[in-house]
Formats: sequence, C-alpha cells, structure tokens
Amino acid sequence: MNLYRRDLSRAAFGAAALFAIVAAVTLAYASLGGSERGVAIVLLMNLVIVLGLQVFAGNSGVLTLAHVSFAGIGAYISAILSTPALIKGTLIADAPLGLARVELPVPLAMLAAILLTTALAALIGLALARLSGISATIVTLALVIVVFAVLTNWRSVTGGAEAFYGIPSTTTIWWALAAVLAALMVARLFKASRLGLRVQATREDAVAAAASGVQVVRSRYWAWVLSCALCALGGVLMAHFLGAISPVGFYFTLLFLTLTMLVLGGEYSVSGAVLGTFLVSVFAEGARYLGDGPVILGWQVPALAGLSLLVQGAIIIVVMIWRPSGLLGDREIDGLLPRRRGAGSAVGAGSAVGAGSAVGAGSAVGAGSAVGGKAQAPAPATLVVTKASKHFAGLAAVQDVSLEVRGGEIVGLIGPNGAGKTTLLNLISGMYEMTSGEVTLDGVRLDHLHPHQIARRGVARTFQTTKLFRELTVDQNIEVAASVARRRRPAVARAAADVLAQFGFEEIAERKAGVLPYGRQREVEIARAVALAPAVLLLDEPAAGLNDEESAELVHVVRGIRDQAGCGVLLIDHDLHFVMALCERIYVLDAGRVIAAGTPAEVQGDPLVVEAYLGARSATSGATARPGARVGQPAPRPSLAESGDLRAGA
Amino acid sequence: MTDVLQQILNGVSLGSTYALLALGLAIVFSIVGLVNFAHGELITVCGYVMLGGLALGLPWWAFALLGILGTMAAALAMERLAFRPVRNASPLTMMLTSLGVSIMIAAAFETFVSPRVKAVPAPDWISAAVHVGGLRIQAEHILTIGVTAVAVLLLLLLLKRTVIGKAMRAASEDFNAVRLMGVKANAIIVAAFAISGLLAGLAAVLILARRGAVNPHMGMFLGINAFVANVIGGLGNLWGALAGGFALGFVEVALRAWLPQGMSGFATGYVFIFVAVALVIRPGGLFGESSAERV
Repeated sequence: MNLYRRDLSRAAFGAAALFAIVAAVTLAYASLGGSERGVAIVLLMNLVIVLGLQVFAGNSGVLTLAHVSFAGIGAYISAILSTPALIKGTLIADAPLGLARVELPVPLAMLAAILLTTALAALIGLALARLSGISATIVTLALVIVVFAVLTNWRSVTGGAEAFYGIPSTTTIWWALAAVLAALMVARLFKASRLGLRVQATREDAVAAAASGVQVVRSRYWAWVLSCALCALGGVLMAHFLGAISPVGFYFTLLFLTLTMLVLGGEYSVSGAVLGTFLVSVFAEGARYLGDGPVILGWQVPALAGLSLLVQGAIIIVVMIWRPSGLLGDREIDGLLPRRRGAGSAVGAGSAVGAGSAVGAGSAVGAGSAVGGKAQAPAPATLVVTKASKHFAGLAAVQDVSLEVRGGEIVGLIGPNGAGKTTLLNLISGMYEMTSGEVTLDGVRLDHLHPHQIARRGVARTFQTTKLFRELTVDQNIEVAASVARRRRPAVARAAADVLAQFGFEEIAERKAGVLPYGRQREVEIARAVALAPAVLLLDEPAAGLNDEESAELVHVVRGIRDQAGCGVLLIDHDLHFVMALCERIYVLDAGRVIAAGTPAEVQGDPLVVEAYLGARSATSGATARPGARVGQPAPRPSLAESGDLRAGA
Repeated sequence: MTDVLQQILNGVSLGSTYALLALGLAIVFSIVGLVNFAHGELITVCGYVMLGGLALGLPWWAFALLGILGTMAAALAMERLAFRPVRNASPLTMMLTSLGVSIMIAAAFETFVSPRVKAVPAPDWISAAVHVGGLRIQAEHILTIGVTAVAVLLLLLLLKRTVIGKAMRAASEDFNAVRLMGVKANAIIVAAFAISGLLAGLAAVLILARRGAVNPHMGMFLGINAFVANVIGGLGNLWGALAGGFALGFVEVALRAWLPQGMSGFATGYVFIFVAVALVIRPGGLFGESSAERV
C-alpha cells in the first residue's frame, strides 16, 4: 500500500469519524425537544454550506463569498419546482415556462435544483477561476449582490422580496445528516485526492505549481464547481426545512455566519469546518438568548438586537490576530490515527521493485545506483534554444542566445550576476514570453506554451529561491508532480515511491516541506522536478547555500539523476568547483549573450570568459592563465579553476 | 439634451463621493496592502457621531466637523487595535480582519444604538437649487464637487510636496527601502489611515447631507462601491481609484435614469455585472497593468 492510497483511506476514515461525532451530538441535542431539533437541523445545513465553502476557499486559498448565493439559487429552484400549484397561483401566477403549474416530487426537485445550480456555477467558474486573490473575493462579493438583486426583483419567478412560502417541508434531521455525511466525505476525500493536492499546490505557490505541470486555472475550476454543488445541497435542504424562504435569507447574515464558522475552525481543515460550525452555533445561540432580553436571576437583561453579529465580528478579529489559520490549522481528525512506522518500510519495498536494490540511503542517487528499471523514463531528448531574446522595456536581458542540451548530458550555464542566466531559464520554462527566438524539445516547439504545458512535455525546473508547497508534506510535494506526468495510478504510486527512495526521503516523507532544514528543502525541490520524469532538468543554482560537503554530495545526486532517468541537465551555478566537476559542457553568458561554450577546460582558458569575470584590464594584462597578476596587486588572483566562487571577482 | 446634462451633473456628483471613498481605500491599500472591508463603516461612524452632535443641539456645520474628526479617529483606532497586530500577515488574514471590524462596527450600532433608521437632517440650503436653462443645479451638487476637487488637490500637494507625502509614495513602491532610509513605518501608516479617515469623513458628510438619515448598515454598500471603484481602476492606483469612482457614479446614474420602468431594481445588479465582466477581461483593472506572470 502506498502513501497516497493510505492517505485516501485515512481521509475516508476521518470523514466517517467526524460524521459519527456530528451525528451523536446533533441527535442528542435534537432529542431534547422541538426547538432544539430545529436548531440541530439548521446547524447541519449550515455545516453543509461551510464544507462547500471549505472545498474551494480552503484548498485554493482564494476567498470567495458567493457560497450563500448558490445556496440561495438552489433553494429557490427547488422551491419553485416543488411548491403546490395552488400556492404558486397566488405567488407567481405569471411565471414563464408554465413554472406556476409545475409540481415535481421533492427529491426530484432537489436533484434538479442542485444540477441546475451546479451548471450555473460551472458557467460562472469559467471566468472566475482565472481570477486570483483579491479580485476573486470582490467579484464574488459583487455576485452576492447581483444574485440578491435578481432574487428580489425578478418577481414573476421568485415572488420578490417577500417570503416564498408553502414549500413542502420534507427536510428531517435524517435528510440533513445524510447530506452532512455526503459533504464530509466529498470535502475530506477531495482534500486528499490528487486533484485536491494540485489545488492546494496552487495555494502554496502558483508559479511552482505551474512549473510542476499543474493547470492552475483548471484545477481551481473543478474545486469551484464541487464547492458550489455542496452549497446548493445545503440551500436546497434549507428551503425544504424552512418551508418559506426570502432573498435576504441568503445574504450577508448567512454569509458572515458561515464565514465565521470556517475561519474559526481553520479554513484549510475539514475537521476545522466542523469544529467552527459547532462553536459558532453555540455562540450564536447564546448571543440570541442574551439578545432577546432574558431574565437571568431576576435581572432583566436589556434586549440587544445585533449581539450575535457582534460576537461573530469579534471572533473573526481575535482568530485573525492570534491564530490566522484557525483553531485547527490544517490538521485533520485522522491525524490522530497512529502513524504506523510500517509506512516507511512500505515505501522501501516499493522502491526495491522500482529502482533496484542498489539504492542506498543517504547518498541515495550515487552513480552506482543507476540500475533500476525506469520503464516510464522518456527516451533521451534534445533541448534546443535558438536565438532566444528577451527585452524588458528596452533592456535586453537575453540577446540571441542559442544553446543545446542533449539527452543524458549535463550542461552548465555560468556567468556574472545579471548575465541573464535565470531569465533564460524562465524563457525555456515558459515563465516569461520570449521577445524572439524559439525553444524546441526534439524538434517540437515549446515557446508560446504555458509553463504547465512545458512541464508536461518534459522540461522540469527548480528555482533560485526554493519554491516548495510548504504546507504539504514531502510526499505530497512529489505526488503532485508525479501524478501530472503519468496517467495510470499504479505508475504514479510507483514513481512517487521511487523518488522518495532515490533521495532517501523515507524518514521525512510525512513531514511538511516548509519545516525542513534548508539543504533538505533544496533536495525536495529537485526531487519534485525529478518526479515529473523530465526529458530535460533545469536547475537554478542548486548548490547555492550548501557547504562543500553538501555540494560534493550534490554532484553525485545530479549524476545519479542523469544516469537513472537518462535526462539532460542544464544547471546554473556560481560555485565553479561544482560546475567544473559536474558538467560535460559549459556555456558562459555575459550581458545577455553567450560569450563562450565548450568543455570545462576550454571555457577556463577562454580570454573572453576571464575578461567577463575578472574585468577587462586583468584579461589584457595577463595573457597567461593567471589573470590579475599585475603590478600593484599584492597577490595574484587565483585562476578560474581555483577560485571557488567567481562572484568575488565579478 | 438638458436631460443628458442633468444626468451628467448627477453622475459627477455621485461619482465624487465614490471617488473620495475609493481614494482613501487606495492610499491604505497601496501602503499596507490591506483591502479594508471596514472602510464603508467609517461612513456609518460619521453618521452616528453627527447624530450625537444633533442630540447635543449643535448646529449642522459643527456636528459635520465633529463627524469628520470622529471618522479620522475611528480610522486611526481601527489601525491601532485591529490592523497593526496583523500588519505582516498574509493579505487574506488582513482582509478577513477588516471584515471582522466591519461586522463589529455595524453590529455595535445595531446593538447599542438602534437597528432602525435615524434622521440626521441636513440644513435647508443644501437642497436649494438654481435653474440654468433646464438644468437644476443644487447647492448639494456644488458642495460635493467643490469639496472633492479641493480634497483631491490638497492630497496631491501633500503627496508631491511634503516629506511625509513623499515617504508615503515611496512606501507604496517599496516599504522596506523607506524604512531603511530612516522613516518610521508607523508614521507613514498612521498618516495613510488618517488621510483615508479624513476622505471618508468628507464623503460621509456629503452623503448624509443627501440622504438625511443614518442606519447601522448604510456604510457597507458604500464601502463595497468604493471597492468596486478601486477594482475598476486597478487596486492601489490613486488615479485609477479616482477614475473608477467617477465611472461607477456615471454608470449608476445612467442605469437609474434610463432603465425601463420595472427594471430599475436591477440597477445594482447591472453595475456589478459590468464590473465582474470588466475584471474578468482585465484582471488587473481597467487602468492597472495586466499581470505579467503567465501561470
């Protein structure tokens, strides 16, 4: 059993456990009496909506507010379809399409309402999923107001601002519990699913997600549709519980209430949604009791109308200041399950099959370990960059650069700071659009493709400053990339296990990437790129910040990757020892142009290179291999091969 | 023709108040990165301060002034109590905090004053009008447009000529660099909130002069309009906020004036649909730069 499958079954178990708790508490409370039963049912319906909100906002990190509107649309559609014609005759006699005479059985009306609402959400999502952050929040806020305006003013269909009454009241606590069970399963399994992981990856770092082959917009889109479907479910139940609904019931009061519930528990967590819903319901009930002006111990408490809202506002502020990720953060109830250390050995077993038993721990991908049957590794491919240029408002960062990385070859890209090395990597991986030139992989054009498409075609990369999915585990970081590169589930599982074993990550597989030491984080990033099964691997300063021992180790790791996957490697680094030891060919970039190319030995002797690194005068004064040895300087500067870090000389 | 001119005048007048509100939001956003959902509630605060002044028997100009000062104080209090503790948090955390503040302020007035509408009568001269051709120009129009013009001009002078103004502009480019130059972060942020409170106070007085009444939730919609104006203009862009405010004013006036009878209830809906569509086409706002990152 692999980690991913195990995560899914743990998630299902967690959802079931949450349901057991929810059912026990609400049923116990409902047994107290009629009004308590009502409170319990309302809580359950709110929970469904909160879970709907969590599916999108929690996983994508984009706060959308329109969940109440979709609940409202669902409620109205179901109400219009199922309310007896007799009542509709007085409410909406002039409704088009004969809606005034339609009388569907309630389950059918509910189903139709959920489907229609989801379809509408799918339509709106086409535009909305493209927006990020604040724009999405404001557009959904606008949506809430638009939907309210339509519900209020489209009198011939909705009956206007006054209550739409006479809706068959069929929602019992059992219906509500069934809906909660469904919503819990959907929300919790989605979070653990591959699609859910991708959406979370876009939340953690959208750029890195795209570079790992994740379609940011599309993955968010499906989360949005699912989220709205759950909200519609909640709204539909509400209509058939209340029996009378009005537009204002799906407006800011419900919006603030459900938002507070999610925020308090922790929006990243399904268990948090449950906890928050319970706590806020308790506060709200308490506030309502006080607000009505009860008599406590003979003292008449004055009636306070907005007390419940006041408490909600206070909860949000306090949570944001002291614990922005809510009470539970992203922890789930299934995290309480014992972590069987067997998991680690399971990975080991998987890797033994995939990568061959020669894989050692620690210096895992040493050159010797390249035995494994890497069935899914692509055939060696050649990356060709032809006359690539990039101009930033007149500044030529990269100018007519051509280079080639053949399959199985390790190529270095060096040059002083500002030479355009990283810009070139950004052009190849599609982060920047080229001003002119082209990039091909085995003759197929890559330029003009989106970053995720380029990643899927076999060009993987790391970043100069590490971009990890920090809140995801090491295993999940790798899983995201591995699942993008492969269609079949067993292949994904095997590949992910292989990569974990290759890098010796068995011990840290279940730790969050963001809490690892720096050196480990860099390794995880490389591992994530390797999990894409790349034809070409682009490494941006992999040795930066590593000590001598670690960078010597990195030489073996990179060679191991090349030997095992057969991919070409293009790497940038300032550590010349590292580059010279590792690379078979080197390109030297200066001021956006390639000024030299060749084997390490050739490049070291090139006077142009010496000039670029050590300055013009040094190069002309010393025609020998010891540039800088000239009058006025106390000691000769080291030669290129000796100077470990050329930034000092640049 | 005069009908069109009349609507343009109404549009400029309404747009002016939106522009004042949007400017205040934009200044705070450009410096702190906070999308202040509670900005609209500053108007509510001003309304209730004025209501208090009215109860004390002060003349209109006096309680209007009191309202503006109270609004500034409220903006500073918000910053100190709620926003400073989350200053370095994520934009989402800051935004949610401001949403909490917004909810609390509205709820506090509802709980401790009254959930009902209270009258804050404006002096009679506000609705005095002169007729030029077929055009009806009210004192309120002149006051609104005049106050807005002066406020924008003074703001411009402040930002271009004074040290704190220059520091604010620099801070909107790179806050840390400004701190390294020895400018106190708190000074800049407090100034930003003070200005945003002042502008909101001015807008609130003008709005209350037009409406003559206050209720606990009146600020919310105005605040949302100010957002929308900002979004139209590109968040954090001052000129964009100004232009967005006027654009919103015009669209709203036009829709109210020329939508067929029975459809006018949809006016708010149409405005927001217009904005949503605009945002989807140009996610960076109409005047903002389109995002360069291809993700």
